[in-house]
Amino acid sequence: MPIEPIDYRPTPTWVRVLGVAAAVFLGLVFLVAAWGKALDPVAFVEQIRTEGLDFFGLAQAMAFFALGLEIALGLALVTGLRRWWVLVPTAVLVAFFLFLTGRAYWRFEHGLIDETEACGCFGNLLNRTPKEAFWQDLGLLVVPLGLSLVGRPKGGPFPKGRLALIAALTAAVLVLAWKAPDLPLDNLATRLKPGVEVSEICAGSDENPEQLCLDALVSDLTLGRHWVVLSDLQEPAFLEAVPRLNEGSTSQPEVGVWVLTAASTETVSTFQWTQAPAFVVQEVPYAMLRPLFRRLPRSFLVEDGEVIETVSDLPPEAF
Amino acid sequence: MRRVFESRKRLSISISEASREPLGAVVSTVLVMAVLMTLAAGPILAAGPPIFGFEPVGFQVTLNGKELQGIEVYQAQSAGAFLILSEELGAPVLLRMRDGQVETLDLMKVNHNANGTVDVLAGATLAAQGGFQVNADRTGVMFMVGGQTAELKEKPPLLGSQQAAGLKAYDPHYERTAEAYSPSDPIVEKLRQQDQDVKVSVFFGTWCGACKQMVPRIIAVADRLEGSKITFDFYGLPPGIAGDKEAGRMGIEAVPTGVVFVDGKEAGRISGNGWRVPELAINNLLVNGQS
Repeated sequence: MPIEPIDYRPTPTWVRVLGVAAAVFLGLVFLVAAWGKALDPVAFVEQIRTEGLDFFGLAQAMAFFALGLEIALGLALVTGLRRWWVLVPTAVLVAFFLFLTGRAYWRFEHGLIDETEACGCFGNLLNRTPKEAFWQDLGLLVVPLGLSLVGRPKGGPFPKGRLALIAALTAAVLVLAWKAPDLPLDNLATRLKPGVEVSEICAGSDENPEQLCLDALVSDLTLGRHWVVLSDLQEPAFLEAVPRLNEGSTSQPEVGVWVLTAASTETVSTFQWTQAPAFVVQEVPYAMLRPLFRRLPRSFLVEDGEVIETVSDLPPEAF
Repeated sequence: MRRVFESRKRLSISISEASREPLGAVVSTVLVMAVLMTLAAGPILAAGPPIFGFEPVGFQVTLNGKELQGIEVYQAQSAGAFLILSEELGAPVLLRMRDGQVETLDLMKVNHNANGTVDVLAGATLAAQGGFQVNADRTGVMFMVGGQTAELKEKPPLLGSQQAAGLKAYDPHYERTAEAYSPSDPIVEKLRQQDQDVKVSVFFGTWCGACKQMVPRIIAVADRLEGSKITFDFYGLPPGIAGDKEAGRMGIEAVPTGVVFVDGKEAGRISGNGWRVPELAINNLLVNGQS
């Protein structure tokens, strides 16, 4: 009896290339998202608490675990690793992200949260509504995940070298995240940096008719030179500097001094009565303030509506 | 204060010692009285520096729990000081917030300027009344003046339907900031030619930070459109908005929000950045249906 030849056709090259490209793309998305979180781990911890994911009060540990996982998987995908032990955890992570953004979208659609309360996995770097976050994540994560499954090589030697590299890089980024709050990375980690217009500092998306931007709130900032301090009005360093800021604002009337705060009305009132500031304390929505800092107080110099300098704490002695 | 107390303690000892000899007691008592009066007068009377540019502000003052009427309250923000003028207080009261001091001064040293501001002139004799403390709900400060308990505090929120004049009377800040805003002449002119009845109902809160910046601009536009077919009313909401029936009925979720009615029908709403240039927002809404 003649033996039937096995119909062995190798995977077309374009399919393999498509699979690799999709995996690399997905890995890059993970790495960009992880980078934003690594630069401002405090905000990520805050986000975990907001999402109600700080089980057993271990928000910080969870943040570093999630960050490590995201970096490791991102690096594995970028280096072309498409083994099942990479793709299964990747699929779980994608499903988890979609669960979070989907839940935020559902809550927003049912009026349970404000559109600024959940903006997805990119931290403070992107301004996204829950709807945008969900649909963008669906497109950016699910499609490449599906494509990265095609044209997978079968078997092969265990990639010890690549895994060692991934482990080393993951550890390095985690150390960076651990040290990040003390490093001068504010301009990288937040939306506030030289060149930004005050009209671009907003709470709410462009489509939201209730969007409020800083130039609409404090129109004085669009003309002349102003030092703006972001504060919760309770940091000891800020309270200590109030006399100096008073002196600065009265001795140099050509330079305005503003303090933007999202503190409670009671806190603002107490501050006004106990400190009698010579400068204006302007209440702003937390959603406008939060993407602008990693730690309070933070300050910036505005000239004719454009941010020209940022400072990690308070304005310099002489301004 | 502690020094004065210790001096008084020492003096009371010398009085008891002096009382053992009648003649010595009289001399000592006279001397003691003179010293006491000097000690008492010394620390509380002082010539104060001039403070310029007190601006009228909307606060209320109570004396022994009763709200004073016809008072004038001024604030010099750069100096961190308040000045209260009221017949019932007897003399002008100066609160120097940064020094924690309450003082009275001679009315002759208070100068009213043509622009509505007030100055405390150089050489005013300040009579110390003591310190002050922030009140329990943190809306003001309590202090003693002439032996009576006084309180300077924020007014309760303005609620319900108001006209621009009502806001200006509530807090002069509205008028002062409105005067600083110049609406665009061509747009105002175009709006004045509007032939339909337009009503802009502005929902706001006197407690809301954004409203303090934006409502004066709307008042400036309302002032410029006076006598036209476009009218304004201002509806004050309580802190937190929730619970106000009118806000609930109109679906107001944020302040300030303007609801624009044309011939009695809602034509659209203005909120957030729409208030950057209120006259433009109103015009756009009337022309395009969008602010």
